[in-house]
Formats: sequence, structure tokens, C-alpha cells
Amino acid sequence: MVLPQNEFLEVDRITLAYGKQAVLQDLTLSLPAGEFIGLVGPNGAGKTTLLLGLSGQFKPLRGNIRFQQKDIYKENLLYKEKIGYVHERPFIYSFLSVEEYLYVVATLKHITASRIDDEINRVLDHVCLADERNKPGSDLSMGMQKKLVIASAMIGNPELVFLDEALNGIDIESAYRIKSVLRDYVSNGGTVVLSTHTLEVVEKICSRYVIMKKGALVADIDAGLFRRQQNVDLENYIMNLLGKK
Amino acid sequence: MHKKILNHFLIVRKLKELYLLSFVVFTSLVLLYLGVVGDALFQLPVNTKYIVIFFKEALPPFIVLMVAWYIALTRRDPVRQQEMQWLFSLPVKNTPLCLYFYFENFFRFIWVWIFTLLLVAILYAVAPPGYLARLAVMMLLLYIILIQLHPLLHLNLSVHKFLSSSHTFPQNSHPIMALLIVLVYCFVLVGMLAMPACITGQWFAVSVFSALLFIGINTFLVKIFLEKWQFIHFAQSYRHTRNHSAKLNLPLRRLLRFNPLLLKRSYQLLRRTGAATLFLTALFMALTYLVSMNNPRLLEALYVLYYLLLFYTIFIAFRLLHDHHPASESKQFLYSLPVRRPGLYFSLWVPAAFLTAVVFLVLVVFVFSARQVLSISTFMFYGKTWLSAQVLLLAAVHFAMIHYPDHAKAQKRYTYWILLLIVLSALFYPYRFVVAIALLTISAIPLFKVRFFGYSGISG
Repeated sequence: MVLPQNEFLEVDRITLAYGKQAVLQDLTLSLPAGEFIGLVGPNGAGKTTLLLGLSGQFKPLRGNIRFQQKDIYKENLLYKEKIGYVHERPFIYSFLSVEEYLYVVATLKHITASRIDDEINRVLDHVCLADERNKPGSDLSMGMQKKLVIASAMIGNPELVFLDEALNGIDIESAYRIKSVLRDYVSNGGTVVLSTHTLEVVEKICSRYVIMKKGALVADIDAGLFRRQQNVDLENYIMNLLGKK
Repeated sequence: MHKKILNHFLIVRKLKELYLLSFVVFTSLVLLYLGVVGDALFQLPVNTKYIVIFFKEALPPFIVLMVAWYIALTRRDPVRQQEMQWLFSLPVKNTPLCLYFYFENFFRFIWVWIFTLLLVAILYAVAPPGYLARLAVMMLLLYIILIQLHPLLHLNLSVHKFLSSSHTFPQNSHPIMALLIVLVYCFVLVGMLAMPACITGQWFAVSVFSALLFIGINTFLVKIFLEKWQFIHFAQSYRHTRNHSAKLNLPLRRLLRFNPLLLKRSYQLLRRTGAATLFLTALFMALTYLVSMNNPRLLEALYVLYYLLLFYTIFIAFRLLHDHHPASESKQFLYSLPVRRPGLYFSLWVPAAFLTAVVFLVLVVFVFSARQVLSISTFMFYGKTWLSAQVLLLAAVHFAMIHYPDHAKAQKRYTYWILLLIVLSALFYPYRFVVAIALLTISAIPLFKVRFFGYSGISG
């Protein structure tokens, strides 16, 4: 299934390697704007490495990645101002409170002083952390830390958000709230790339599925088309693709 | 009924402070008696030896005392705010409330005056007791004025229509007001030491009368402002303070906005590594002061001081390298956000430069003032030492940034760089400054290649 090309995020035959060990080889991908993309695949498929490469954190050995026609490693800082990233294992500074952490991130993203407080309040409301704003990082549970890094990724209304296993470990109410916020964000023109093992979430909220196996792309499917054309659920479809069934 | 509640409350709360109150009243009466009885009112020091003794012996602990007062004044106290909220919810009249807050403040910081008293007592051997007693009484009156002035300024700003619109200005200016109060206390004490005649004879009576009048006017004004404040502004400012209680409580916060990494680093130093660094710095300062003071020849003492300060800088430099380790400076944070080289560079260098500037200044002033009168040469020596230290610190910043996230490599390379600097400086001693600048420049060249992302295909 080939999707129409556009010029939002273009990945052109990239190879990503740790030392001599290539994790992704000659991978080509095109991500359009305004989509909720679910990135799925078994452990070691290269999802996190791909996300790091796409977000301007891990420069490919070969090939290039362009965002709105500009090489993301040449215009690295400008690109990072436009995106948000949530790592699988969140790292926050124990000596900063929730609000201070967001203040530092917002200022780094060049959000104007007049908007900064409103932005912090907005993202804290989105992730249900408003009551914990004065808590130091050291007092936050893992779930709260995840919520905080999601809030920091959403600050400044980025054009593109990468979520690496971001919804794991979050309580039901917050997960529900975050999902609806992400849906609204996408319907307003934003793009989300979500890497996860929870297929229910992918089926429920993603508009496109990208499936990976051993560092290669095995499928790139439009969710609507998939639902119309396939008579199996996503889980069975993936199992078939991976040759496990 | 409300009087009963308040009286009971005051009695219970104030019981422990009753002894302190007795002590303060008794001491001030004794001091007043000593200062004015017979010819004591006209006693003046015969020469300026007492000022020299004050600068040599009493000044260092006095500076520490003032720093402690500033920290105590700027520290937020949520329990006190809750108490205020509770008191405002009771049917208590304004005058007892106002007096209650006065006494609260008076006892909270009374140690400032008690320690000042002890420091003034050091001068007993070189200044007449009458003069010292009058000085202590004036310092007590000044303390009361300043303790009143602080809430007065705060309330005045809070109830001001224009300034209070956002409720941030009175909160943000709180540390500046505290600094102002501490500085006034310092300068008035030094002023009264430098011009003893202004608290002698009839001028003493005029000073006491003016101070009492000022205290009366202040009390009246605070009462008026408190009435306005408690009904309109307290709830909002309380909410604001509660929401901002965790933020950096420094006037620099607004200035730091241009570099958020510097703000983060300041928080890190203040909250996490601050205590250890401060303790080691205090230990170092005490030892250096002793070593420098015990050297009979000034020139030799200065050389010892210079190299000890550089040694301290190397300790700070290794601390800096350690703080730029991926475990404390997150790779995720630096790589996923639009971090710029100058921002990171200054965030690493500025706090270390500031720390060395303060430590060097205190030590150089102490050592010089204890041996000779402060002069231009003091500041020349200070400037030379500080600039030499910056070469060492900047090199550490370069290695920390260039080799990040490989922290061990950064430390190793920095050690080699220091050794090379020592060897080359020894070989080309007349050109040691040129050698240092050249080595610093060379260490800065790879900075241009620093990028905030990992490289595919490169191990580690």
C-alpha cells in the first residue's frame, strides 16, 4: 500500500548503527502532517532507534531525513523547537519542581514570557498534574514522571510529537485524558508518532500503522483502508506479517 | 470572646519568649544606663584603633551574620502564612494583630541584634564603654525599625493599585527588600563606627527620639496597610506564594530567563550539590586564612594565597566536570531539546565563576585588611587571581562540553591539560600567561564541532 508522498517528514534510505552494528538499513519512509501514526513491532525491531533518528537525536550513518524539505541534522535546533519527544524511560531533574522543569523546557523552546504561564497551565491540565505543580521531581512516581515528560513534549504546541511507550504506567483517568488531548491535537493539524506494544491503543486512536521487523519496514497501512479491506484484527494481521501464525 | 482567644493564644505562644523579652529589655536598659550616666554620654574613642580591630576581627563574623539574616529573611514560611490565614479568619481587631506580627518578627530575628552586641563587645579594650553601650542601643532601635520596615514595604507594594495588579511584583521584589534592609543595617553600623560623634551628647538624644518617632509612624502605617491587605490582597498573594513557593527565591530569576540552562544549573547547585560545596569551601577558606595569616612575610603569604586559590579552582573545575556527567546532566534532555552551545557554555561557567569571585574576594579582603590597609594593590591581586582561575575553569568547561557524554575522558584530558600547563609555565615562566591563554584557545577549538545529538556508527 503506497501513501501519497508529501513534504512533511521524509526519510530517505537511512542507515542507523550502534558502532558497527546496523540497526536500521536503507529505510525509506514518508510521514504526512495531521496523522496519528502507530509504530509497532517486536522488541529489537528498531522502533526506538528510528524515533531517535527521526527526532534529530541520532544522526544516520547514511541517508538523510528532511522535515518540511530541510535536513533535520543541518537545521537541528530549529527542528527541535518544532517537535516534542517522550522517551521510554523518562528522565527528570530531581531538584526541579514540576513547574520549574516545564519553565526550563518552555524557555529553551523560546516560548515568549507572556505565554509561558498559560502554556504551563494548559499542559499541566492536559496531563492532570496541576495539583502537583510544586512537587520536586524526586517526589514524583513513575506515572507522574511520564505525565510530566508528556506535558513537556506538548508545551509550545509542537508540529510533531514522538511518544516512545509513553502511555505505559499511567493511570486510567490520565491515560484517557492524554489520549483525548492527543486526538484533539491531531485533529488540529498536529502529527503524532506513537511507538507502543499496546495494539488496542493503536487500533483505537491511530490513523496509520507502521509495522517494523528486524530493522526493516514491513508494512505502512492507512487505518481506515485497513479496517475496510482486511477482515482480521490488527493483532492477527501483525502476527501473520511476522510469520508467527 | 475574640480578645480571650487572642490573649490565650498570645500567652501560650509567648511564654517561651518571655525570658528572651526580659533579657532584651534588661540588657537594653543596662546599656542605656551605661551609655548616658555621668560623663558616659560624652565618651568618645581617642583614636581609630577600634575601627581597625573591628575590620580585622569582627568583620568576618559580621558578614556571616548578615548573610544568615538575609537567608532567614528571604526564606518562605508556609506555616506562618497558614497561621496568618487562620488569624484573619478570626474576629480579631487590627491593632492586636499588628502588634502580634511585630512581636513575631522581633523575636524571629532577635539573634541578629544579640550577635551584633557580642561583636561590638570585642571593641571593649579599645573604645570607651559608654560609646559602645550607646552604639548597642542605637543598633537595637535600628533593628526594630528595619523589622517594621520590611512588612511595611511589602504591604505598601501589595496594596498599591498599579503594582499589585499581577501579585508578582511584591513577591518578586521580596529578596531585594531583604537585601536593602541588610545593607542599611551594615552601613548604619559602619557609619556609627566611623562617625562616633553622631551618637554622642545631645545627638544621641536626638537620634533616640527620631528613632522612636519613626517606629511610631511605622506602626501606624503598617496598621492602615494591614487592614487593606488582609481583606483584599492576602488571599491572592497567599495563593500566588503557595503556587510559586518552590521557585528560585532570588532576584536573579528574571535575569536568568535569557538562559534557562543557567537557571537549571543554579537550582542544581543550590538544592543538590550546594551544601557539600559550601561546606568544603568554608573549610578551605578557614584553612587558607590561617595559612596566609601565619606567614610572617606579606609577599610570601600572597604567593601562598594565590596558589591555594588556584588549587581550590581546580577542585571546582573537577566538580564542574562531574556535574556534566550523563547521570546528572541528562543526555535525553540535551539531545531532545533545542539546546544551544552558548547557553550550555555559560550555564556551566557562570556559577563557577561567581563562586570563585565571591570566595576570592572574601579571602583576599580578609588577608589584606588583617595585614595592611586595603588599597588598589588588593584589587589588582584579586583581579589577577580571579582571571588566572577563569583560565582553569574555562578549560574545564571546554573539556566537559567536547567529550560529553564521555565524562571519564573529559576528566582525563583535563588532567593532562593541567599537567601540560604546569610544565610549560615552569619552562617558560616569564610567558606563563601567554602559555595559559594559548592552551585555553587550543582547548576551545573542538567546541565548534559540538552537536547535541548522537552519531550513528560511533561506538560509546
